[in-house]
Amino acid sequence: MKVAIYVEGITEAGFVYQLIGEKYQWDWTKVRLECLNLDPSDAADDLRDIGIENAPNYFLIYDSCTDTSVASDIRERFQSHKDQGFDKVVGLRDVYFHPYSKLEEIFKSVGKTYSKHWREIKEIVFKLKSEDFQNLYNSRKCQSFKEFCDTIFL
Amino acid sequence: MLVKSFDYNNFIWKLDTIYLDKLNLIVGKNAVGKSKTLNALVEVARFIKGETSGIVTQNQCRLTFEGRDGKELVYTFDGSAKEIVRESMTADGVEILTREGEHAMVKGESVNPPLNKLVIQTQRDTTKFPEFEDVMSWAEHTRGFSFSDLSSSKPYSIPNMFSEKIDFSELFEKIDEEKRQFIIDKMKELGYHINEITPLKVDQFNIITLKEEGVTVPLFSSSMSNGMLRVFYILTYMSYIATTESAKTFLIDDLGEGLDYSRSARLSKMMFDYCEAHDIQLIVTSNDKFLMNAIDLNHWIILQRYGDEVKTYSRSTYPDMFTKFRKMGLNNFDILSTDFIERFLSQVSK
Repeated sequence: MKVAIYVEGITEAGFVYQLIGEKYQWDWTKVRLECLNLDPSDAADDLRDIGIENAPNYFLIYDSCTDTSVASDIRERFQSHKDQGFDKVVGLRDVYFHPYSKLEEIFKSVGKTYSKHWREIKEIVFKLKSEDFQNLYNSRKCQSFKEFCDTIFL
Repeated sequence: MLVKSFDYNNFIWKLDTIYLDKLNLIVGKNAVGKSKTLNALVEVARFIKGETSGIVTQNQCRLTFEGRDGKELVYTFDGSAKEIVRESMTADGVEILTREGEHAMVKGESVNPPLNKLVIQTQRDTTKFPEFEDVMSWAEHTRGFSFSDLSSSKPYSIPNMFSEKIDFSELFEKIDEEKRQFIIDKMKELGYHINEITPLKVDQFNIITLKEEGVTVPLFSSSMSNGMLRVFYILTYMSYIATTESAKTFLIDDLGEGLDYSRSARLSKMMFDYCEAHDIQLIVTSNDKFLMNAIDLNHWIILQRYGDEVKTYSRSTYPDMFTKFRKMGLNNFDILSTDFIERFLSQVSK
């Protein structure tokens, strides 16, 4: 299976990377995982390409860097992905109100600043393990997560 | 004769060996040295021809050619317009010229060239030294333009990288009917609906008029849009050089500049196809995303600058990198616009 996943930022890239890695128990003979366009560079160092070249499952995570360009990035590349034998091309983006601005206001009211740093993001994302993903998948609390997993793994 | 590789160092700027094929698209981010690379080739060709205006400081240059009968010629020189310090040539690995200052050996014979002249300029003999003639012929038949310099404000003389006087009307007169029709057809394909191109002589002036479909008043080259004029010049010049008999290397800086995305992609494709079918080596630079997506990665040479040194990446030197990228199913332009190269190189080094 060959799947390209377009995400809107480093948080989603880290989340998807961890989800796929955990799904295959980081078995390099089963999955090849490659990422592109990761900024900052320490994120690129953490989300390194893994897996043997001819692993049966190939995932490409492409960070579009902004939520407005996920769909257009896919449209521009869909045909060439198809030509290279990709089975699926998936876009992942926020559809709900993002709490970022609210959090920023709260932090500001106590004289602090809120910003999403990779070192904080990875503290959360890399703690998620296979059973956490499995529980969320089975809980029916997040239908979009279930749909996403079904889309990329089935 | 094809230039197969080019090394250049003028002690301010150093170009890593650039491996060339028949068709080449040099790409890279802004200020990486794309135009400098073409200009260095131009300066070297001019210097070989004996035009000393170019190289005034010391330069080291190494050119590899695919010469007659597939022979590999390697020609090097180190020096300036004032003084040639070293010069050498090998043919299929066999030394035919060595030089230190005013003392040179040419095919086993000692010669004493003037300090400010290249041996290949002074020893002209098509029978005894055909290899020298090949290199001189390459220099004499290399042509280059900056696409953005072509302008309807200078419609009758073509500005070019060799500072030559090229009268556009005279050049057009040399093209036969079949090629003129080719130009009309290609302009139509690019959305310029021209039915007729006519060279005219008014008093002592040679001018060219174009007849557009559905328009009664003829269009003069001075009244064309810059985009249309650039396309017209380039197609005309390309058709013209295809008719000349010698080795041909055609350089175009910033191809597609000023054209809309669709035309720039189609013009570049047209040029690559034409030069492939004719005996023309094409070396083009561009940073146009749509043009890059239209040209096969096999023709790409990527430049990356590290301080004063420019590194080159192409399919011939980094086949694994290009194969890996192709399998990702992305657009060609992504190899430049993403962190792919950095990631590939860092993972290879680890």
